[in-house]
Amino acid sequence: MSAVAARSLDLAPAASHEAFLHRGDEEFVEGAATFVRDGLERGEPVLVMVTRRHRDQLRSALRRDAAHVRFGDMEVVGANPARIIPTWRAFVDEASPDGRPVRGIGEPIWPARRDPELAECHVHESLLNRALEGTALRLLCPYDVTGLGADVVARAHRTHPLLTDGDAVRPSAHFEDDFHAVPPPDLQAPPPDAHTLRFEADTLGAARRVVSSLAAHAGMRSPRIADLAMAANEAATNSVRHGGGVGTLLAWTEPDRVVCEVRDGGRIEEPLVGRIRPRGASDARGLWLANALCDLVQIRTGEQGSVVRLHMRRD
Amino acid sequence: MAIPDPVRRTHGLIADREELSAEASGGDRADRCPCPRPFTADFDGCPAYQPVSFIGTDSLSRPLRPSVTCRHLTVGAADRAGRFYPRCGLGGERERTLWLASAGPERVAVMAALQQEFDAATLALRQQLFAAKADILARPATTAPAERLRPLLDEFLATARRFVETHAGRLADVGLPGPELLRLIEDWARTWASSRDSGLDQVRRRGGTSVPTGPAQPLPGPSTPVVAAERQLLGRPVRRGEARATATAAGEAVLVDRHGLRLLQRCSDGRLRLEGEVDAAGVDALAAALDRATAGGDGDRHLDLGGLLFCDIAGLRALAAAAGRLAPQGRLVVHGMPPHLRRALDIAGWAGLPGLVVSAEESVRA
Repeated sequence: MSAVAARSLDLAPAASHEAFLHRGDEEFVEGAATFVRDGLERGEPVLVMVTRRHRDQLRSALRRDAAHVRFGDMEVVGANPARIIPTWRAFVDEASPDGRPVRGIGEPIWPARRDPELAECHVHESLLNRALEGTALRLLCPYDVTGLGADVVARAHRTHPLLTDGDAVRPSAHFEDDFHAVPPPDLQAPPPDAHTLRFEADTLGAARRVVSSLAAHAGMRSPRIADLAMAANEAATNSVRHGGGVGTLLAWTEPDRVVCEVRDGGRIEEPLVGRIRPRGASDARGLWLANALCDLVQIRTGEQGSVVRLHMRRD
Repeated sequence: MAIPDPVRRTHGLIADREELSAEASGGDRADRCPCPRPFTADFDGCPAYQPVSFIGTDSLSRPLRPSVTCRHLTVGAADRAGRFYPRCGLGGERERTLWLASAGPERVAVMAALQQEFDAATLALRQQLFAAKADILARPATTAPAERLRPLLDEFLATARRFVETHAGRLADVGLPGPELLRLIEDWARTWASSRDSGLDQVRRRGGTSVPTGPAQPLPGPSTPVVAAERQLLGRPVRRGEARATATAAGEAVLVDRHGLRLLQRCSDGRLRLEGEVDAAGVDALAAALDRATAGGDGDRHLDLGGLLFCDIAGLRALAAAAGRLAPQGRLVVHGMPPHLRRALDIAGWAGLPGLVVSAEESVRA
């Protein structure tokens, strides 16, 4: 009996998170189409969020079945990987309010991903295990082992409880159940000539102006400057309110982007911060907003304090 | 005490701080520029600061080292003792806030960046133009130097054209459409080239309407006056009258005035107005004041955000909470919410609150 069949005997459907380690597009299409058809046969709603190329390939392989599948563009949804979890949660809430099984294919990592995005994809994959708890989503994450680095595939072994080659499903021997046991990739050190400003509640305005001015000089258009200033202000406000009342802002430009980060002495306890849609009036919204407005948000926290780094493309 | 340099004074660049402090002791003026001058290259102490590179001239019309001044800095009228003071053309702190809000602070930042980039791109040419002009003014009888000015002017205008084309998108963002801006630059440059004065300031003060003519006029001036285009593009005087009117309106209760944040309430109809920056420094005071202002009585409350420079999520939460208190008997009707705040309200999940109405009227910035 295959692992898939065995799991279907469980009394209550549970979330699962499988890394689909495939070799090239052909294996992807074959494995993904089988996974989707299997779900459709069971009457399960299916959402596929993959790269545009894989989406088109899978669509044509599914032929008429494609009409019953929801497709999302991962290159848009996952541009900032922190926006992926809320999308899965929204799909589950909408398609499975009664806890019925649902399926998804999510491909957050593709070969062209740049380093900081890649780092956040690993963080995302690790957080998914926590985010999917209590749902009945069976999620398949394609990794093309011929196009991705060995370190990327090794990370997938650590962040996914289950592995599949498109046929058999087996547990990953290297899976780390505890999010904290898989430290997120280190951030690159800020350049030595970064603008640096120590701020507190009364000087948040100066911090915003440093960011706006730097972004304006980097050629950023004004609506995006307003967004970046707002996101930076929320990160800095967290320092003022929860990080000891003071923080340090660093801001610099890179060839294609403006980066600013806020450091403080506080510790962020909730790993899913900024990835849970706020509902109650008092729910935190600062990092949720930052994730919605910025192209990339990187959060690192520990005994020494916290760093929230915001990336915004210059164009 | 230093003798004021008449040339620098003429150009609105007042660097003599000793003189200023003497002036300050006797009845200060609300529109006095509060910033230390001369401005340094990285000055960022005033949110309304608009750096403009400037080439002053000595008494023989020869160019001095380039320096930076603020677009809004003007010379305040002399008092009885014959003293001038550095005057902010926008007005006092409150007028600066209202101007910034109407322009949009991030647009002002883009404008400042573009100005600096343009100044840097044209500095060498402008210096050559000034030197050539000084030459012409020193030898008014000959026409030969004018021939030196023309190619420089053409090169300057070609550089300006390239700049405007390269940055068309950013210029449009800040309300400076390329063709109009180019026409303005061209008019200014030709007016300057055709005048007998060396400083652009004097030329601008005449508004281009009375370009001097005579034997020393080196090049023909522009065909049309530039005043209308300047006012349309650089808009300061257009909004100022309005800002003045609201700033001095009587019959307003001040509910909050701290940390650059003001909440005002018109006595006649209870309409609320929020001005300045809402962030962690003042948001608790704002929330408490909105709490009081929305307590008691049902019906709608109106809140005008036309003077708002910045609002954080906690500020939006305060608006949402006030709206929640008014519902279902009344609503909080918000006017003039900038587009990016509407988006933030939506992302935060407060856009559809039953008691909150974001008025469809276009925001002041749009």
